[in-house]
Amino acid sequence: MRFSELIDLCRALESTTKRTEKRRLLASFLHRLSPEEVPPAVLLITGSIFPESDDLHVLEIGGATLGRVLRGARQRTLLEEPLTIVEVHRILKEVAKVSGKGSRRRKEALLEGLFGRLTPVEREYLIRFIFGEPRIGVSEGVMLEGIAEAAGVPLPLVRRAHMFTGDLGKIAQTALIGGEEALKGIGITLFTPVKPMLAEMSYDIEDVIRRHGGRTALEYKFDGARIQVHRKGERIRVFSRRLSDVTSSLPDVVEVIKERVSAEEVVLDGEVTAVGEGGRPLPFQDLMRRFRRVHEVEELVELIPLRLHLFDILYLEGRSLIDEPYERRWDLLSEVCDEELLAERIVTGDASEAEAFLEEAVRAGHEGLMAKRLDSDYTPGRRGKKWFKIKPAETLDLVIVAADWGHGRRRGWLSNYHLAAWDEEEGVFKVIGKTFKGLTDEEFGEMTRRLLRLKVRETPYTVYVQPRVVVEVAFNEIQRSPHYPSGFALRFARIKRIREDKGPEEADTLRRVRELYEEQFRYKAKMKIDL
Amino acid sequence: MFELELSKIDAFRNLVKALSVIVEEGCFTLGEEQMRLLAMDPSHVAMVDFELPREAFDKYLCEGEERLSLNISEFLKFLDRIQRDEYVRIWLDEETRKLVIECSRGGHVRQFMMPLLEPSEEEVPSPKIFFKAHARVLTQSLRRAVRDAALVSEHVKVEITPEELKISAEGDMGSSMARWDKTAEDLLELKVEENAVATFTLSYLQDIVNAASVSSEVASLELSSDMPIKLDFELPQGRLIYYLAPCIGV
Repeated sequence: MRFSELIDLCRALESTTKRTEKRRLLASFLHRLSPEEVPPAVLLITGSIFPESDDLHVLEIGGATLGRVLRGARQRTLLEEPLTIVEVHRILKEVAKVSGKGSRRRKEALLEGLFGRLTPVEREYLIRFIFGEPRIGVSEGVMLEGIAEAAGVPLPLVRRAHMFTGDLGKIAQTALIGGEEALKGIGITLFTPVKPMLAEMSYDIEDVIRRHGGRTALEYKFDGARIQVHRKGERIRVFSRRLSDVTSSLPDVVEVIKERVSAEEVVLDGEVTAVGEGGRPLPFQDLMRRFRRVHEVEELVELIPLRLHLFDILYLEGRSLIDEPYERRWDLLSEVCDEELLAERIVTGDASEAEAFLEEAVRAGHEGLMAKRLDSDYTPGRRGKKWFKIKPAETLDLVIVAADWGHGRRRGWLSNYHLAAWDEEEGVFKVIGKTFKGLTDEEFGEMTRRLLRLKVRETPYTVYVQPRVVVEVAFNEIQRSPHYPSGFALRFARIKRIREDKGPEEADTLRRVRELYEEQFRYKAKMKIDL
Repeated sequence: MFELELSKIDAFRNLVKALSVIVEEGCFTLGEEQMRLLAMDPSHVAMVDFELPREAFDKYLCEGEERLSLNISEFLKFLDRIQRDEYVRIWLDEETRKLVIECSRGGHVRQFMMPLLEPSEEEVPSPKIFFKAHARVLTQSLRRAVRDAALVSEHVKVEITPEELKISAEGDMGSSMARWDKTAEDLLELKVEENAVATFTLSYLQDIVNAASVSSEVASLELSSDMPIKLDFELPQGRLIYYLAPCIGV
């Protein structure tokens, strides 16, 4: 099928907000596709290009690259016949495969050829697909509904299959060709990895304990890499978080399983950390060197030894355990493996005990804690409130470049501060957030007087000041922002203290902000957008 | 069955290098008299038409027709390991369906085996274009002009008129121009039915000319305005022709 027909569908999907209509459009479109066209079409529509489990293909197309491609001349092709869906996907795959010397030029050449064959409207949609933001209102959920309708199978069955494989394209293909029977065949089986269960983020331990019904299990949250181990007797495979087989890179982990796990048939969920001096975890980058290494593994095994931490069990001696409660699974896990492989853990309802445990985890070089609801089942690939990850808040030293006049109780004070980081490339301060939280009344008064002395211009609401005052700002997350020219925004920013000891030149830079932002994503596949 | 032997690897390796500019995975058609590869790059911007007759090898044996799909850059990695003074044998192992590359000197033998790929179903048609202008030029001279252009731009303009062949580029950093009057020594032939001018992406053109100039001393350019260019690199034996689509609106 032609790529232009996919774009027609996207335009139709975008023009309606009705979920039932979207579902109908998707279903009738999927129906018209041939089997090999289904996966690429589904992946493009949902903006993922490659399935989550595909570690080999990551489309790294920067905004700058795309800018050059689009600004340049229109590259014509030798055959001017219309592009098909399969062809577009194949070319993107080709782009993802390019590596090594001259790869930028090679990528650009491929993209020029591709874009040269598209109409302006088609180009626009393809750019959205490439950046993973199709903005046509088709979430995973809607797509699953569309697949169910197209294949005439029950929706829960499609959802369930998705939980296990995480590959929408493959599920659509399976559902359309094999129907209900084929979908049922997808489940937890040995040597077919399932997506690991995920957790929501929280910074508030008390709140987590309350949500978990007054008591929760707390485990160290390791600064490592998630793995899933499948074993049947002597046969052991280790899979990464993104479900690729990493067994050959981790012979030491395999050895540990052989020696210290007693079960014959088992699927285990855990994390490996790289161990440095004194048993402390090494940075994530070093760990990743182990994961990527395929040749001469032995040498790295010595250089970067790994430690295995196990915290869940999904399958044992022929039986799936994912519907069992967490507590029961933990008990079974502790029966089959050596105690030293188990994640450090306490069960508590006491917030101060939990805080102390969090501090202990961080001091030991880990990221924070996981809080797991005692009666929760294991939901592959789902991020929910059954599991929380608890991290200490992060901070940045930022410069106040403007402030808004307060309302209500804060009337008469400059109380909402525009917080900026230094952009080294452009040589300017760029705002990445605003906050009115964190200062005492007394400090508000003092800050107002201080900022007015630094005033450079003002509007009825806002006073712009010389960038002099540095504050330490705590926040929960850095997000992408179309609103601020910096491209970033802090979530839940609050001032921890005024850094009298720091000048604006010592404040954190936009590069640091970008680094922190990237760190948040280090487990996720992410596109580099450097617009 | 298929088998070939070479007492020197250089010439063959250079040709494979020239193919690798266009295709990552290519399907050779091996006939009794010659090997052939007709392939388009994945974005359909460039194409190569390559043929090497059995006479180009010390020994060449092929019964019937074989289609051999290879990852060409991997193939090249193996060829790169062969020393100048080593004798080369390449054959298809019928049992494993693997390509065996063997090099030897005296009693010392080294061997590589590489898997074949599924041959693609894609038919590659030859472009049917009527070219209005034709220039035959020394490859080294052409290569210099293209490298000059790469200093200032990502695109290059090729013009052929009854008086001259001209290759020029313009960019923010400056411009470059190379001209061959019809009397120029490096210009061996100039035949023009109609003035022709077209612009091409240097990322392709430079790679093509660089890679092909090692194997060929003379290149024929065939051009029509805003149409693909045909670059025929003359070989002592065989054929190495590229087609490259133009850019519009530079």
